[in-house]
Amino acid sequence: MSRQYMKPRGVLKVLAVLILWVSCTAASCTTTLRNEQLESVAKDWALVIRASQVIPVYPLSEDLQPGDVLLVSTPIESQVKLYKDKGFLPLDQHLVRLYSTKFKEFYNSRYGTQDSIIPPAQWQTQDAHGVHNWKMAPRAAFPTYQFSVNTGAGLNLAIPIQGVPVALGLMSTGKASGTVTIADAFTFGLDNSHLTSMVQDWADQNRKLLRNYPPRDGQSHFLRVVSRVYLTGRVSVTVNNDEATSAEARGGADRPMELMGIKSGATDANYEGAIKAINNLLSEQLPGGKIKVVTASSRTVTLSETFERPLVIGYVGFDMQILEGGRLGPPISTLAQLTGGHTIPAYATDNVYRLASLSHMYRALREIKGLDADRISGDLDKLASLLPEKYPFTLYELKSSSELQQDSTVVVGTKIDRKAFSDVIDYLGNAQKTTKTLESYLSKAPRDSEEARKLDQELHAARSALADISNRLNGEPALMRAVDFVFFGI
Amino acid sequence: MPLEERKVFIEDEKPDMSFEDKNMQLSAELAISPNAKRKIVRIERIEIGASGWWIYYRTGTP
Repeated sequence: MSRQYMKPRGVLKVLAVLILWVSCTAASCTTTLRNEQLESVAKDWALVIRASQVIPVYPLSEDLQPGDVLLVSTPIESQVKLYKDKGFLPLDQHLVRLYSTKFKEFYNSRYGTQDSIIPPAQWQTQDAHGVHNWKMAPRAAFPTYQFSVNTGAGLNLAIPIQGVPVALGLMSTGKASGTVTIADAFTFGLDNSHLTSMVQDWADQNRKLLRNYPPRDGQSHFLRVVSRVYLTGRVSVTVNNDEATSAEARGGADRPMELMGIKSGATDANYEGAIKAINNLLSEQLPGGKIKVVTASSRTVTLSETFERPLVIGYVGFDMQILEGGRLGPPISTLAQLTGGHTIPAYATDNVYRLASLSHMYRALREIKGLDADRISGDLDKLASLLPEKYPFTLYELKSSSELQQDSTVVVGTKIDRKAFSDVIDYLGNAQKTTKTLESYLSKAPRDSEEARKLDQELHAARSALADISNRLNGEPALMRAVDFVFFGI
Repeated sequence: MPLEERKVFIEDEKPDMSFEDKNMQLSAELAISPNAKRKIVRIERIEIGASGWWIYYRTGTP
């Protein structure tokens, strides 16, 4: 083969590769753009729901109910970021669905609740005319939400109904604002106390499974328990033409848009006929859809989309931390956790009996001896490093029922022993004693004296010290392991 | 530091406590700081005026 023929072939090859590359890049760009648009739709819709203190579900689903338990694997910090970035949390790890038979008791037999049927089954059942019974369910109401859109972003408006792009097309506008009304809303749920004990029972039987998710490197897994869901049967959208363009069928010129002839002066018959024409067109354009135009003009279009059955748009629930050995921590509000309102409650060290138990446990551990006991005891001793170097408070006790006594050794600035776990217990004991003593004394003492003000500051210092060390100890696996080993032998 | 006897008062945490509860509270108080490390020499129970325990302890060295 001569070089004369090689060259064109080489060029062709390069061209082919280039075309392939351009095609792939373009396809990739389109996919990326589409993904971004879809995510944007999800986030904006989620923000609408979140405004009502409900955790949004996206996409809308019929298949979520109180008693659903999700395994949350991402660290809480990442979840908060995800929640803020995307506006909702994925429901990807559905661990178990717990069926409660307490709905009738919770609702005191109202809303059609029965012993043998677990909601929403009784409301989903259709009557002879094919109509479901959701009208019997507890109602909910959401405020109306406002939005604005423009060309480009407009067609991806953050509402999971199909009508808005249609409305924009009808009005021949690229810039619009409007309102979304979540109508026919329902809610049902169960009390946290009952759900907590149900989840606890389930967890006791499934500790083997939950043991696989212990806290590691300061990060925890949670069981997210859905306690209440919110559903909607219909979403209405009113879109106002902000461009206030004329009634020319600019955007919809490629299809027969007689509706654009609707003007304020149109007769009722013409108007009704035009609306019917729009709805006919919609039923052709969106097969299976239930979108209906309620009113339409070149300035405003109101659409209503009815779902065949109400869909869950959001939920509220609580989280339970999975601790060492598969045990569960106390329930914490999911929403509060996601919005940073409150995380895990502090380790309870404000009680003399709990502290005494901690002290006895540590002594027992040292008495048990053996490799495991020594290792666990050593891990506990390391917790002494969590203590501050110096006492941030002074120890106060009662000298008599009405007399205060300041300690001579535990005073602000004194160096703290930080060698063993017993030092942690001592520190907690001193902080707790000072807090209790000063609270009791100040409750009886005159509040406006100089002494009271000084003691108030002392009380504040002791309280802060107690809260600080409690937070540091909170969720420490060494403590959990010691409890399991001493009390349960595991 | 000279030898010195001091006392602290531990008030009952609630009125009308049973014997068991009073003993349990005392036991817990003695198990943790500040009393756990003290050289306790005497414990007295009082019921007049206020209800609680006097804990007598020694500080310093002879």
